[in-house]
Amino acid sequence: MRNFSRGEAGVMLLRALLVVLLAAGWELGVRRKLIDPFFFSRPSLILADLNKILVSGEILPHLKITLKEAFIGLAAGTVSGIVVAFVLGRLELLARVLDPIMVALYGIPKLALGPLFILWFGVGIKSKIFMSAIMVFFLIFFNTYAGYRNVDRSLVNAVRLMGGSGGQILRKVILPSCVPWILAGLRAALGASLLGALVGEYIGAEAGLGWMIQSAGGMYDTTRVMSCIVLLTAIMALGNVGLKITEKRLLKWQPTE
Amino acid sequence: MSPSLGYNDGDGADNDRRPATAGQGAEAPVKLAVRNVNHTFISANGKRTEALTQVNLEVRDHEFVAIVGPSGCGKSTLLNIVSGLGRPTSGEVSLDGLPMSGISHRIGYISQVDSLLPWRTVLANVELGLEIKGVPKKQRREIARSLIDKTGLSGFEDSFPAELSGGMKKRVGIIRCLAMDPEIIFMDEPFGALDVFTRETLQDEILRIWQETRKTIVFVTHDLSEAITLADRVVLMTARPSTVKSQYPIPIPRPRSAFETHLDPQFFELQRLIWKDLKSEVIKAQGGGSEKF
Ligand SMILES: Nc1ncnc2c1ncn2[C@@H]1O[C@H](COP(=O)(O)OP(=O)(O)OP(=O)(O)O)[C@@H](O)[C@H]1O
Ligand SMILES: [Mg+2]
Repeated sequence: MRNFSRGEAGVMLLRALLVVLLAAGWELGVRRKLIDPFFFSRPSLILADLNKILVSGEILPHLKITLKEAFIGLAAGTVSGIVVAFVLGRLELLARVLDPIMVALYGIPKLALGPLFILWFGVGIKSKIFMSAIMVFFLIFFNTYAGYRNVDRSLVNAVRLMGGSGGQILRKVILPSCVPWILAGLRAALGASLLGALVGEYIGAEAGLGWMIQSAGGMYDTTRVMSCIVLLTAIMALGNVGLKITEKRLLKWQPTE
Repeated sequence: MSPSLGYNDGDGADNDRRPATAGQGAEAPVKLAVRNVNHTFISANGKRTEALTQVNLEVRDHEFVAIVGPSGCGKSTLLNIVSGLGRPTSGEVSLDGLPMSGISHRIGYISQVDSLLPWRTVLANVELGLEIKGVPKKQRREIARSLIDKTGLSGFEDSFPAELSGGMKKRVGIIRCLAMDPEIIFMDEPFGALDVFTRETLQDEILRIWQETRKTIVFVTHDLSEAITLADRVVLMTARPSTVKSQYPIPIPRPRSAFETHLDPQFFELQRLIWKDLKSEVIKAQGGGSEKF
């Protein structure tokens, strides 16, 4: 793997500095009575609250539930997205029949489906997983399908000429050439999976970060809402780092320039 | 002057059985036979392109045949058909006297466009065919490594295609094909985009490979001097709709090298002779559209 160049370290430092400055400005703004803490809370309070809920472990069950929903949703949506894309890539007629239907389904605001999912799967974890999975599914499906369409015919022919079977072509040519597309889909799907879980919790739940935000908001506890947002941001940042590392490993064959 | 060179006219169906002194494979059995092959493309919007018409060609065992013709005449189309990748509109292709149906592992095809898998290292690319065949890992690695060493690619086993020069990629493509040990090798303008020096080195490489393995080779090129340098016989194709125009045995003795061959007095004579024949086709092809040669 490439080591951090000096430029990159510099950028990271500047980035951290910017965040600190913003937080300091925020804190100062509240103390000078320029910002109303009722609506915005303030960094020192948020940090204290974060510390409290993490140390007491009060937040952990909620965190666990939301992460579980998002993760299972991400995995299920990704796998089904890839499988459906490959099937439609293979069966051209079916793909042509389904194309406008898929686009229409994708166009439905998923939030509108929430109450249905609750009705079908209850207020438990299942409805959230489904919401998350369905949002991930479309992102992965459209990307993978575009990748399938884009597979270099000459590579397929080369493997066919070597006597490669359909399965071998799939494994040795089509899947690897779709990897960059799938990863691009995953980049968007990562956020979507978490969003799906939260939205599901807003609509109806008994636990989870989304539920916590909802109930804290109901009690005008801005600080708690902000704490949860900070946590969510941290989760996304971690997820993105993980994805970056995966990308670097899987795509090391791509020319860098 | 033509008769002394065994110049033949016609569609090549049943003439030219005895190339003068080329020797190699002159009397050998027919390996590959193309009979009355026609091919017409019909594109999605209904446009018909008649690419091949009544193509007849025989390639003997261990023979090195070069096919030359104007750009867009149908050379790649012909190779796609004889490799089993595509079916002709009509006509027949037979291998060792048996009609071919589909792809055969006895044929190796180095296509006009690079087809190395970009996510595989050089080593893994060379192993690809053996992997498909189900050769055990240790054994295929051994075969791949020895081929890589022989072609001067050692040290690049773990490089990806994007990290190689054009000439190196061609080398990998060639040894990937050799690793499968096919009986016939088709090459479609493999050195088209390379500089003169790399080209000559690779021509020498091909000559050496032929000398060592005596594989039957069909080599498509639009460089006439390359065809004469390499082949036992040069097959000339007409402009589209294309057919075999004439065939010229190349009696330059082997083993050859690209450099030495270019100094052979016969080389110039052959080049002059074949070029005269080819020129009219090139003009026809250029008159017909924007195709270049
Ligand atoms: N899939 C296709 N659909 C329609 N027309 C095609 C198709 N493939 C080739 N052709 C046409 O058939 C003709 C022969 O093409 P081909 O690629 O065989 O030529 P070529 O002799 O190999 O040319 P070059 O020397 O430039 O590689 C061309 O006019 C081309 O436009
Ligand atoms: Mg061609």
